[in-house]
Amino acid sequence: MKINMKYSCVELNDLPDKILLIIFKKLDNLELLYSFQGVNKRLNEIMHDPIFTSRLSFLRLPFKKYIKKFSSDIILNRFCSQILSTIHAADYPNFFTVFINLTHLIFDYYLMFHFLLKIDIELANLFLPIEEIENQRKIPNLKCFVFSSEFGLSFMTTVDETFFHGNNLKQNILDHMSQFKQFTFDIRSVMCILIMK
Amino acid sequence: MAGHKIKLQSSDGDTFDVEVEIAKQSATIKTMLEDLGMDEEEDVIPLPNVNSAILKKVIQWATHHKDDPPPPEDDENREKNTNDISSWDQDFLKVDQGTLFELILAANYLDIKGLLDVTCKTVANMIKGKTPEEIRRTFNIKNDFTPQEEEQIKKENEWCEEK
Repeated sequence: MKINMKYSCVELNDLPDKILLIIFKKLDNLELLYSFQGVNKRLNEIMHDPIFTSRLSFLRLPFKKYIKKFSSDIILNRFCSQILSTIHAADYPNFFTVFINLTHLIFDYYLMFHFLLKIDIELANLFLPIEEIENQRKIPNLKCFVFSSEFGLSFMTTVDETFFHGNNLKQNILDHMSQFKQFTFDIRSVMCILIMK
Repeated sequence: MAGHKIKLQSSDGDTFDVEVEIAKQSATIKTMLEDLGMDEEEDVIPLPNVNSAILKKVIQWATHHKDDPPPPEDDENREKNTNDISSWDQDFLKVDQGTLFELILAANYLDIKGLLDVTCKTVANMIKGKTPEEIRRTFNIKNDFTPQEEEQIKKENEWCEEK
């Protein structure tokens, strides 16, 4: 039997929603939002479904080690300046959770996140001394999340002299967050002590 | 029975002799066979949603994968990985976009989970890393936002540029 493989005219935008959802679910939520934000009305509506916007992680966790998903700061900048705000406009903030690397991003962009009602922040890549110092200096800036009603903080850092103290957290952050109702945290500071014999 | 065959008929009238065990990778065909009690080689299963070219590709895929274990159940929490496409499947799916999308539609209609999975992963890989403009160019998608709507989106973005 001879069969002609005629050129098919079916295009991505012709696929039913059900199939597009299957394809989109193969992608990381950030990748999807980055690529499809504003492409056309139909795709915009599909990708604003809470299943794609309720959990965004800026970190990948292979083999229990965090790495940045976006190698380029340009991509990250576009994401923060254009995409997150439209998710806000789509009125999905109640379900919005961001996992983010404080080291490289969050305090430059905290303004974009102030609409969040719930935010989980995971700090990672803190094991390099320079980043560690930088992050500790930035920690008080967390008070910028004044609109957050739920606040989760997962934080582990290495320290040289003093452990991260709970009073710092209360005075520098929590006392400034008048609207939050729930705070969950996992804070650990690790000190390496070398004993010279 | 090993080697027992059935006939599958495409939308354009061509028939294909296919081993039952290969055809049963399609949950749709499997159900038809069970519900209709079809076991005669003369029986023809019509597949009005799949043309000959695509049905031939589907049979080729199913034949190659006939000894595969059943695909795992969907798990929303599983890490999303689109880099696990076998080299055979990668070569098999080096087709034009239209054929790829028709394969997806056929896999969905015939309910062949493995084929649907690998074809959707291939499209996902074509999407990765592209900007919206590149997506429009790659997939020939028209931007149907009006200038006013685009302006509105820009306005909504303005506040977050104030730093």
